[in-house]
Formats: sequence, C-alpha cells, structure tokens
Amino acid sequence: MTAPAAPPPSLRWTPLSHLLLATGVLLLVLGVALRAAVPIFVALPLVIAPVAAALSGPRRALPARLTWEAYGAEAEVTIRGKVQGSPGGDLRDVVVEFARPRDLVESAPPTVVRDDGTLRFELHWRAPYPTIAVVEPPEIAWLDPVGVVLRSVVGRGERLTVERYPPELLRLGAVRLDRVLALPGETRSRRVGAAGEFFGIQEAAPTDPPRRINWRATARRGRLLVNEFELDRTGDVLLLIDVRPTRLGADTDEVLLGAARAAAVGIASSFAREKARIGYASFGEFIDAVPLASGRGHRFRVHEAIRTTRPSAVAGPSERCAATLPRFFPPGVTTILISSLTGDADSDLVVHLRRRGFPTIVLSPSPAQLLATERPLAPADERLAERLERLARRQRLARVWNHAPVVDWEDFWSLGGFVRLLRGPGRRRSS
Amino acid sequence: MSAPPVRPRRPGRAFSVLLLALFAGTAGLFATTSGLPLIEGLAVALAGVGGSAVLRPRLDGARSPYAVVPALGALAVLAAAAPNSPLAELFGGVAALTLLAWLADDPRRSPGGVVRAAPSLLLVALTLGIAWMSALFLPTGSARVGFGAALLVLVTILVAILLGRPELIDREPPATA
Repeated sequence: MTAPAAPPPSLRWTPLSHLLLATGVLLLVLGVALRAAVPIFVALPLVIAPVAAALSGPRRALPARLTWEAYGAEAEVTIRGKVQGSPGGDLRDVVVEFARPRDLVESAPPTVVRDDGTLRFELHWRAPYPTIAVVEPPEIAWLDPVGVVLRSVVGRGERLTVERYPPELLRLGAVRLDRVLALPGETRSRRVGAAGEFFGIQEAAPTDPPRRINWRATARRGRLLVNEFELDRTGDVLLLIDVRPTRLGADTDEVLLGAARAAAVGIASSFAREKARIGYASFGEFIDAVPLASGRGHRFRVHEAIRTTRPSAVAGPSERCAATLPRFFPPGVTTILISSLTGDADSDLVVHLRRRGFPTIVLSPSPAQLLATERPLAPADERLAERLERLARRQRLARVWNHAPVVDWEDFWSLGGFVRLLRGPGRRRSS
Repeated sequence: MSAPPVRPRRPGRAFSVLLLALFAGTAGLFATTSGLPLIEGLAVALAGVGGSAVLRPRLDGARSPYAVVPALGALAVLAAAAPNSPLAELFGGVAALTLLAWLADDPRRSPGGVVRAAPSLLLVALTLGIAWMSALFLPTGSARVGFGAALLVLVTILVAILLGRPELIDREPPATA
C-alpha cells in the first residue's frame, strides 16, 4: 500500500526568489573575496526581499470559493468562472494556473479580471475532435507583488467535465430499442408522456397537440383536458468499444478512442433520458463491463466507465470478447460496436458477436483525416495516398457490411447517418 | 443562462514608465560611481535595464522570472568593478531596491503592485539603510567590509534556513492537510 501524497506546503518560493538569492549569494562571495563592500550592499536587497515579502504578506492560507462552468457548442469550449474571496478580502494578488487537458487546444489567451473581492476568468479552448475531457480545478495562490512568494488559497472547487459530441446524438433517444427481458410488460417506466398505457387526465398546455385532448372530459369540465400515458420503457442497448491496439499507432488510436468515448457518452445520455437500460463494455485484452441497468446512478456509473476507458496495450482475440459478453449481457440486446475497423481482427469481432446472438450496429471512426495530417507528401502523392486509403477502407467496411450495418464516421462533428440508420426500419432487417 | 463575458481593463502605463526610468536612473548613478569608464559603465547599466525591460513582456509562464537576468547581470558587473566608497555602496543598494520596485509593477498583474509591495520594500530599505549607516560610521575600510560581510553571512544563513523550511513563517497548516 502506498502512502498518500503529501499536501503542497502553504508557502512556497518562486523561481524568481531562487534567482535573486543565487545572485545575492554570488555577490556576497565576490565582496568577501575582493574585500569590497559594494557587492555586499547590492546583494543585501536581493537576499532580504523574499523573506520580507513572506513576512509582510498574509500569514495563513486565504479562503476562497471557485465556481466555474463550460459553455459553447461543438468544437468551441469557453470556460467562465470566478474566485470569490472572504468578505473584504483582496484578490488583486491572487493568481490562477489552469491545467488544460490534452484533448483541448487553446484558441485564445485566457482573460482574467479582478473586481472587488472577485476574480473572474474566461478560457478559450477548442476541441479538435469530439471528446470527454475532465478539467482539473486551477491552482489558486496568492503571489506577492514582487513575485517571490506563493501562498496557497483554500477551497479549490470541483472538477469540470467538458462533453463535446455531435449534436445529432441528442435526437437518438426517440429510437425504439428491442427489449431482452422475459416479461417486458412487467417493467414500466416511471415517466408519464404522450404514448403508452393510459395513466390519467390533466389540464391541457398550449403545447399539447389536439389528438391528446380528451373531448368527453373537456365537455364535462368545460375546460381543455388531455390524456396522460405511462410510457413503456424503450428497451435495452449495449455500447461496446473496441480498445485493442491497431496498426495506426498509439497516438492515432488515442485520438480515435477519444472520439469513440465522446460518441458513447452521447449515445448513453440520449437513451438514458428515455429510461432505456444501458450496458457498457470495452474490449482490449479482456472485457470490462457495466451490466444493463437504468437510473441516474447507473448513468453516472456508465459515464465514469466510458471516461476512464484507455487503449489496451495487448489485443485479445475477437472470439474471447464474443464468448465473454453473454456472462454480462443477455444475447439479443441491441449492440452498438464502436471500432475503427483498422485492426486485422476487428472485422472478425462483428462475425463472432453475430454468432453469439448479439445484433450489432458498427460505428467506425475513420482515421482518414488524422492520417492526412501525418503524411509529409506532395499534394499529388497525398491525393493518391488518400484515394488508396479510401478504397482500402471501403473494401474493409464492405466485408463487415455482410454481417452488420456499418456507419463510416468521417466527419467527427456529424453523426446524422448513424442516427438515420438507427431510426430507419432497415436496422431491424439487417440485424 | 450563460455567464457574462469577461472583459479585461487596460491599466495605465505612465507609472510603469516612471518606475523603469527610476530604475534606469539609479543604475546609471551606480554606473557613474563604479570603477568602469563612464561610457562603458552607462552602457552596461543601459544594456541591463533595457534587456530586462524588453524581455519582460516577451517571456510568458515559466520563463517570465528570467527577464530579470540582464538587470541582475549588469548590477553584478558594476558591483564587481566598483571601488569602496560610500556613494557607490549607497547607489548599488538603491539600484537593487529600485529593481525590486520595478519587478513589483508587472503589467500582466493588477495595477498598484508597488503600493501593495510597499511594506516588504520598506523592510528591505530599512535593512539597507541600517547597513549603510553602520558601514559609513565605522573607522576603517577593512573593518567595514568585515562587519558587513559577517552581518550578511548571518542573514544569508537565516534566509537559507527559511527557504528550506517555509513552515517556520507559516502560522497555520495548509487546509489541504
């Protein structure tokens, strides 16, 4: 068992203080060696300044409260927040240092403004690809005006999660999923809505369509009343991410997995809103699974499992995935497999899943645009390489299409094709 | 509802220019009392002050402390060449003090840094004043150097102890403990 990491000290010296002290000591040695007083007098302010700053500043950690939130859509990520000190507290010398996640890039320098007792900041970042990024709370500290002493500020605030995935996934919840329960009618949703079993009557709202109005009840009461229905739970879905290493290399695999994670979170969120049961699994060397369930706690569990999914160093055989999956999920559950289909055995996974009774839909993030930025080729050669790559990929996807529908995810900010495939009647036929 | 966008205010630059001029002036005075020829001494002082002034807005993040290196280098060169004289000692100390004041006026931070740093700068100025007065009223040159050196060795040991154990200055354990 490892010991917990020691907390950072409340008071720290900055590199500038070390620089001043080093120069001061050097001058002091020079003065003694040359038997000259002038270097000693020049050294004096330099060696005294850090201690004087520490003694004249606040003598204990300052209390402060951080509140922040992420805004923006698609690739744009704007984070606005504020640090509030104690009443009457002075935050003019408080500095904040932000730790930007790897998935996000800075599009403009941060803006920091200090008002009375409040420090407001705005960060301008950009997500080149769909991502689920966790932003750690910034390091907040008091820095003396000269810049030689740092003192911690108490109350760092919560982590911030930035979720960026294609907006079409928000419409995915309307898809009717198959159920794999033995007696599906016995499990009802707690949600009341516009279709399903009759639940009751309530006052009509301006947004209610005419077909929901209960005309008999309206005639009896003399005011518009509408029917309410107890919604059936929509069904079950399994999200499976293939995290096995591919021939593209670790960096490209990481980017593709980032997009896959973002899509999985978007799909899970949409179905969770409709009270569907959601299961999640990632397959690298072995399977990591979160069994089918619904509810807010389960939604959080699935999100955490997706967020913490990392690329595997070792590739397990496809048969192992298909053989292990029935231990966690009943065969017949609608399975959305997210795989780049660039590994040699990736297409086998679909075949094995079908054989074990998992109707599969494949969402395949395309590495085309990532590879295009990596190749140092002349424009003509680049066009040729791109065309060959496209043909090879089309052939690979066509092989998989023989066993399951495949969506080639080329434009990372659009999943319209995937949503259309799931909503269309063709999905049932092909599965 | 989204939070309102954050718009920064531009601080005035007149005071920064004044501080830079003050630093350059004291460094120039120190150069005139140093053992270097006048033109060379002024050139060293100007190069140090100008180099730091140019570097400070250009170095960001972890590299920003290194903007002070040209000024420190210039002060060290002038100090090494300076003869033992009360004026050179005074101007050398004051030049280092104005360097600290100039550092306190960072344009990337809240305006009024010098005013907020006044307590620590006054403490440094007081120490410098006591040391200079003590040295001035001692009878011989070598005794003066010995007295100042002993004083500063003690101070340096104290600073080294404090740098190694910052909790000695702390009155309260960190809240994250």
